[in-house]
Amino acid sequence: MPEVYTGATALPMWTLYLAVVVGGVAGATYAARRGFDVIGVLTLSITAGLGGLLLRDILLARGPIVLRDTTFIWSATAAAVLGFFFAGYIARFDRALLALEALAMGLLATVGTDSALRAGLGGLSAIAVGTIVATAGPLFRDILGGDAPQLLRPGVFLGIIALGGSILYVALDAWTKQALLSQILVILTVFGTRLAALRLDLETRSAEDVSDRVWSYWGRKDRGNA
Amino acid sequence: MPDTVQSLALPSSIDALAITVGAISGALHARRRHMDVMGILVVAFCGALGGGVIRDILLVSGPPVFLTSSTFLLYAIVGAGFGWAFSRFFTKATILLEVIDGLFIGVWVLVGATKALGNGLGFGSVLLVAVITATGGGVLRDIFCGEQVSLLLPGQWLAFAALMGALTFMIVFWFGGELFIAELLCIVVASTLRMVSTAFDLRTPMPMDLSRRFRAPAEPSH
Repeated sequence: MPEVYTGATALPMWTLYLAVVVGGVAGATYAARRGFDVIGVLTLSITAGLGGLLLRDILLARGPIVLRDTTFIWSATAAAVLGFFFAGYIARFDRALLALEALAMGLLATVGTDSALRAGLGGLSAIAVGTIVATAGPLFRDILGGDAPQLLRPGVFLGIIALGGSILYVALDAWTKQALLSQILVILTVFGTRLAALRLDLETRSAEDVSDRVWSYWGRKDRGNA
Repeated sequence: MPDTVQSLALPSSIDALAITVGAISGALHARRRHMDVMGILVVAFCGALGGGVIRDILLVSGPPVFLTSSTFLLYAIVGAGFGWAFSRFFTKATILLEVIDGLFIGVWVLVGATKALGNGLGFGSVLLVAVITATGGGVLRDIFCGEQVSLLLPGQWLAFAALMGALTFMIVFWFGGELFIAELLCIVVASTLRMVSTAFDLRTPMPMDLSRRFRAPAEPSH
């Protein structure tokens, strides 16, 4: 059997499986809320749970770990079973699920960034991969459900935190050179920021147009000269 | 078939301009839909780099170019920033954007076709990869915005122009023409078709149902 690429996490592997379960449960409860059938719940749990890791391996051009290591598939399936039978029960603990999702997002961001760095990519590319891995789950979930993705619309900080976490990881990794330490620090930062954003309702605004301001600045200058 | 070609190395200024313009139009698309920072970044990246990513995945030739050469990402970020900050200006300058966009369709088709040829693909596969390179970014953009894919709706020639450009390239190349002439003709054909269809609002044909025409005229049609 060829050597299995074990994903780049300095933490024990079960944390990654747990991240898949959390993402999968979020996808499955979403599907249950939308009134999807058993295939819909399974599909959404697998794409939301495994989408990021799958996309990472496609981008880094290697055999997907989520297919080599079957524990990943079983984790996503377990999440689908949970979501299929206990969606109402899980919905009562939506705050806990949001917190777990924040932890999973931090872990995925570090894993994505780290594996891109180890594949010999530059810092900017690693940040891009980390952000993609961390946010692909919710994005795929919304696309499959036919919603305008929550990730892209103004709302409580989500993608921006994954982006920040990836940037922080690249910086910490270059500075401390200790994968485990930087990973834990980034996960805690992402977790804390996300919870603070949820509590304080920190929202991103829709894009702003500054051409008026620039033009009025130039306009003023012209008048001053005249 | 003539020998395979090395994948084409375009002057980096053309790459830079093509990616920046793609990112600007992606950012405008996102802004019209009132997205936030992340939305603009994602949609601009899709518009600028999406086609190339799909191409590199299909050709299994290592990580996509935008990851291995980090300047591509920088251009995309710059384009997204411009589209974000000066969207009103660029919305007024649609003609400028459309002309540049039309020119670059030819460039993308050519990049896709030469890269596929360099990987030793056959005639039809090269056509497919070339068209996907030129149009994939727009498809990804529409999917991520949660909209119907505009490539599939009736509208101005995009995939058609790309296909004709790729076909020209392959025919000239296949019959032993100069590589340079094939490249030039490819860009000219694709860009001209695209810009003509934009200028005169030429629409792609809808499916016509011939079965009714072949049916025996037993009943009056109205």
